[in-house]
Amino acid sequence: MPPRRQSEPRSPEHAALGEAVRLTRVEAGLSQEALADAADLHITVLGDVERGVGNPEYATLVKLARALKVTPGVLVMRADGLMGARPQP
Amino acid sequence: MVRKTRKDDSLPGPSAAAFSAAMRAMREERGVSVADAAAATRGVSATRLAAVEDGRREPDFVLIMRLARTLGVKSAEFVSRGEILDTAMPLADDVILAALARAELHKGNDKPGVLYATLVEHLGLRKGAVTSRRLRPRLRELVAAGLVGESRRRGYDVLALTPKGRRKLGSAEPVALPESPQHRRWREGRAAATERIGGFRDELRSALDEAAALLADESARSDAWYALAGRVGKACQRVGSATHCLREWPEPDDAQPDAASDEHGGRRNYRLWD
Repeated sequence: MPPRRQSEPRSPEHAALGEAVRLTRVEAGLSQEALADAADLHITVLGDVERGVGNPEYATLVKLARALKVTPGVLVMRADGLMGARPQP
Repeated sequence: MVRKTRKDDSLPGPSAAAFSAAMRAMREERGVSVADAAAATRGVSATRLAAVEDGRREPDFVLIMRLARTLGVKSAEFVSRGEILDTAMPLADDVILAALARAELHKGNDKPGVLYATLVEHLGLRKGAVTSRRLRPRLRELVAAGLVGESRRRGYDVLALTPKGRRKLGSAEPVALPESPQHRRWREGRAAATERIGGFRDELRSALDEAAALLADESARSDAWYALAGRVGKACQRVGSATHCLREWPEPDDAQPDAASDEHGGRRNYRLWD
């Protein structure tokens, strides 16, 4: 198991998802606290996802998407797009 | 602020079970085994992938992204396919319109419209109560909105996109539809031919050996020759049909009807082998 608190993203995929969640959250005008609350997630879970450290399960993606009022597809698509935009390691 | 939202915000996505089923369906449609998919996907074992597809474990985000890359699909396509497979979710307008457009295109003749059953097939759904419960009411809404036309031909309901429906489809985001029926026929024909062609060649060889034995026997009766004729002919046709499925049938492109299917219909019908 990787250390619980880690600052470097686990992989480019994780970093892209974190960015996708953060961008969508900011566009929705939500703070981390407000989103974590609406998604029924602990704020450290959300923080980890946004920093690319957490590897959320599908159910967590659905919770986040619901709270952000998008589909999980939109969230994943956005991450995909951000992945394509950055150089592959 | 531009944000893509659904008509119904209370349904954020397919159930985990439907999502897993979508992953499996899209892997199988590409003819990739669990073992091969796992081997080509960094950090994912075959055991784990099988457990995810069976719904015994939940996929995590990185598995979703990496498996999508292995299969050459967009990860969001797992979600949209999951929505089609999730019987608790309404079928989206764009999905139905795209499936109808493809069904009309693949029909390969100029007459507009396809049967309800053909649309069901293009949506990758099975005929039955659940399908009807999900598709019928949505279709009625699309007909009422003037996006789909409904007429009766020879006692059957025929569905066709209206010009308005075509315009709506043109301005929609591309939809990842389930594998088309023509592609499935090609894939299944290939798989069946791969499995059977060796046996067919052996059968032909043994029939030819018998023919050689008959030739060497000048007292052979006419009955023996006529009995063998059927077997040799059948064996040749099976080898020919399997050869066609394996080497001469190009992978169909969904952008057009599988053109040669009329000309080679018999050769491509692996269901006639038995």
